[in-house]
Order: sequence, then C-alpha cells, then structure tokens
Amino acid sequence: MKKVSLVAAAAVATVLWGGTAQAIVVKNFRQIAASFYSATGVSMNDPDVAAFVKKTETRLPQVGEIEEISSPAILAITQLAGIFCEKMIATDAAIPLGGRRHTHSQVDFERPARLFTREVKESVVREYADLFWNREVTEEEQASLLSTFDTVAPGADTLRTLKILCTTMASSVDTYVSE
Amino acid sequence: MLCRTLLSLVTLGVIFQTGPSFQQKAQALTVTNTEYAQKLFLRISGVSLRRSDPRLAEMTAHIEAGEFEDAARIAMESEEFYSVTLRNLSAPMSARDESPLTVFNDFQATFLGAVRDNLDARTLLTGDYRYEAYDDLGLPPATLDSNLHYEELAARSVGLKRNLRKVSPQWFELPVAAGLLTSRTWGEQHLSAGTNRRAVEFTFKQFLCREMPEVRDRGLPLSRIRRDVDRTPGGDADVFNNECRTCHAVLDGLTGAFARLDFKDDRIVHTGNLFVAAKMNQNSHVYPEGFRVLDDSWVNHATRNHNEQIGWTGQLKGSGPRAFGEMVANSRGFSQCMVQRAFRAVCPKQDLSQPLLNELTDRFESEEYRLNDMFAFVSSHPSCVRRPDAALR
Repeated sequence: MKKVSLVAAAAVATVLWGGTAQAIVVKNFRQIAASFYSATGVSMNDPDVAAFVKKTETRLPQVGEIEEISSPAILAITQLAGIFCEKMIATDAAIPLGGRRHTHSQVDFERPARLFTREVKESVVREYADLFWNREVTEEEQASLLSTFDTVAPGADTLRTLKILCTTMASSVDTYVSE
Repeated sequence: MLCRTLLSLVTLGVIFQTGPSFQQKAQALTVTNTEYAQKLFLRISGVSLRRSDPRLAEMTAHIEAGEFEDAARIAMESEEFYSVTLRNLSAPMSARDESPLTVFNDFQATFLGAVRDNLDARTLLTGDYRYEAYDDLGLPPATLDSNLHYEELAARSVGLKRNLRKVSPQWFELPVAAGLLTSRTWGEQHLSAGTNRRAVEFTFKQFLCREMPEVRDRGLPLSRIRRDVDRTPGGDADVFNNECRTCHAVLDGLTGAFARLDFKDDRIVHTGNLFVAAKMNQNSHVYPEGFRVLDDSWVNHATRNHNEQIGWTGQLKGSGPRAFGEMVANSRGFSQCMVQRAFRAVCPKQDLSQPLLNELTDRFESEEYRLNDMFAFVSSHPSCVRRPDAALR
C-alpha cells in the first residue's frame, strides 16, 4: 500500500516537476469541487456530496500551488471523484436510454458490463474524456482504459465498473492541473 | 482491499495524466480562438467550459472580432466567477489568519456584490451599505451579532451571484459606516480584544498590500504613541527608538479612527460620541506621559521616504473610520493593490511587472474604479492569457 502510494506520488512528481513546473497552476479546493459539480451535473444540494466536499476540503490544495499536491491530496481528489461519479452514474441509470444528457448515451444499465460491446465501451470512454478532460481521448489512452474496463467488468456489476472507470478518469492529473 | 483499489485508481489516474494536451499546452506555439476562449473561461471561473456549451461559441465569436473584454464578460456572468474565483480572493482578505477556508461572511458578500454591481471600489472602504441574501430564501436575518445568515446562504448552494442584494444603511445600530472596515467580520477579526491596532495593520495589509515591516519608518513623531508602549523596553531607549517607534508612530497615529469601536458580546459596538473604547487607554501605567486617546481623531505619519510610494491624496488627518477609509481608498496604493489582487486571482503565475501594474492601475482609476470592469480588462489583457495567434483569427 505504501509502495503504491509512493509510486503514485513519484509519478505525479515526474509529470509535474519534470516539465514546466514553474508555470503549473493547480486547482484549489473550490475549483476542484466546482469542476466536479459542473462536469457531472450533480446537484450542489445533494447532502452526501456536500458533506463529503466539506470533509475533504482541508486535504485539497488551498491556494493552488504545485507544492500542495501530496499523497493525501491525490487520495482526496480520487475519493471526491468517486462520489461524484457514483452519483452521476446512479442518476443516469434511472433515466431511460435516449433521455440522458451527454454521458452513458449508449449504456444499457440492465446489461452486465462484461457484455458491453466495444462500441459501447468506447463511447463511455469518449464521453468521460469530454466530461473531465474537455478533449478527445487518444488511442493509447483508449486502449489502456478499455483494458481497465475489461479487467474490472468480470468481477463487478455495471454500476461499479462504470464508477471505477469514471473515477480513474475524473481523478487524473488533467482535471486538477489547470495549465 | 478497498485501500488497494483506491490506491490503484490513484496510480492509474496519475498515469493518465493528460495525454497530449498537458505537454502540448505547455509547448504550444499557437493558440486558436477556441482554445483562448476555453483558457479565459477557466481562468475567470475556475472551471472548464465544455466544448458543447453555447457560451464557448459566443466567446469565440467575440474573440474573432477582437472583442476580448466582451468575451471575458461572458465568463464573468457565470456563477463560478462569484462562488469560486471571487470567494478565493475575498475569503483570505476577510480573516486574520487569511485562510482560504474562511466561512462566507458579510465582508465576502459585500465584496462579491460590489463586483457584480460594478461599484466604485473606493466605496468598499467608505460606503454605507452591505450585501445580504433576499428575504424569500428564508434565512436567519443578517444581524450584527451573528454570521449565521451568511453561513447558511453559502451552505444552501443557491447561487451567490443572483441571490445577493444591496442594503443600506450598513447597520442601523451603528452611527458610523466605512464599508468593509465596519463589516461585522472586520470587527470580529480586528476589533476584538487587543488595542484596535490590528484594524490599522490589516487595512494596510489587505487594502494597500503592505505589511507593517514595509511601512515602518524611522524618526516619526512620538506625539500619538499611546501610554501602553514601553519607551525603554529592557531598559534600553534605543530599542524603542529604533524598533518600537518605527511601527507605533504609524499605527498609533491612525488607530484613533477606530477608537469608538469595539467587538464585544459577538457584535461591533459603538461607544457613542462622548467616549472611546476602554481598550484604547489600557495599560496606561506603562508610560503615563504617552498619548491619551480622547476621541476618534487620527493622523497619518506614513507619508515620508518609502511611504511616499503609497501615493496619498487628500486629507492626511481626520476623524472616524469613514474619513480613514476615504484616505486609504483614494491612495494610489489602494488602486494598485486592488489591481494586483485581481490579477493574481485570474492570472496565476503570470508576471505582473511594474509597468504593467501601472498601466492597469491607470486604467482602473480613469474608469472610476469600477470593479467589474477591472476584472474584465485585467483578465483579457494579453499578459494574463496568451492571445490567439493573429493568423488564426
């Protein structure tokens, strides 16, 4: 567990400090929460989400300096992403196919995730990329994410599989590093 | 098991850093109009503008026409500009510990409202008004002895931009008003206990962007230094003259502005026009020959040498917090500080050179110190967000 945590922190450090670190702007706790609300459409009045946002804000970057990105901060962002994803997926699952907004447009929530066609899986990845990264997903990313999906799907139900995929993408560096 | 899953997600999430976009953005040689619009929106609101959002097309159209400020104004219409960006700016200003986590309060609400309504920034230190929520939200009333109104407004997440209204007078219970300097929050943070010197110190810090070590000056008049300041600390008068005097001459000269104000029983209280707060003359035994505070008169001694750069105009002495606020608000230092704060809020990590600061401050002053306009021209300045390549426009 400690080893994985160190790997994660090292990966962040390599990505961020290795490049144009001086110009890097990290979102602060308000921006991170607002970004998740905006992207997922989850209501700001959802008490579970609001409580969790409040609970995690001290672990998130306060002013938006790169030095504030720590293991606890990354974990907090991941946990936040998880709860927002869970709420968004649950909301979409209750809406009939064809009536959803811009995510899960092709997902049949009655169908086990392991039986999703490649086309459906790719559409989910594209939609999450648009939602959280505001760009197209690359071929390499697509391949890796589909591999993740296929690894998780056999052992998890549809909601959980989508949540894991969503959380993975929503908690990526792209979502909390502004530039 | 859950821990391992979570950490695996973290690792995966980190590895899916940004694909090509992060590195490309850092090294891009050209910026398209759409990219500029997205960057501008992100800077102003703190959240991304989705490609399918109609505002992106609106902003892009303005940018294509060279109307950068108009594009910025579209972003400034977002709720997030108020609930995220302006709160990020005003929350630390409203607290002694300058914590970004400071709960929503009347200071922040008034700042947000003043920006929304494009008020003259100088009224932030002189105005007889504040902002609160509309009655139909059913919140506890905004009172001098409680911040609950503002805490509940923020907790409701109903949108700060559209739910703030301006009320005047600022407080029926107080015979004086000086904008943020007589907000309940300011009183709680800087008029509680102590000697009211903190109110002056933080005025310099928050509205002139100057800490006391930058303002202190040698050889200033002793006349207003109060009786609680030891003239021979540790038996050494040189310590007083070389250290204590340099700050106290400034602080004590100005603290009279708040002499009739105190924060007690969870509220700002005014002593009436015949008396001053007892704290103003406490510990008078330390140096009985020192200045005795009898009224709310004040004198500004921070006017020479390096303090000339503050650019004071108008009266350098007066009575009460409003006149004090007026002096501060009409200084060049105030204008510069407001511009600096706006720039740092929407242009993080960008270089604010002195010539650029002068340029932006000149414009701010020439356009009647309008706050909303200031954010529009600061955020859309080419030094804030790199403009699109001309060939692509």
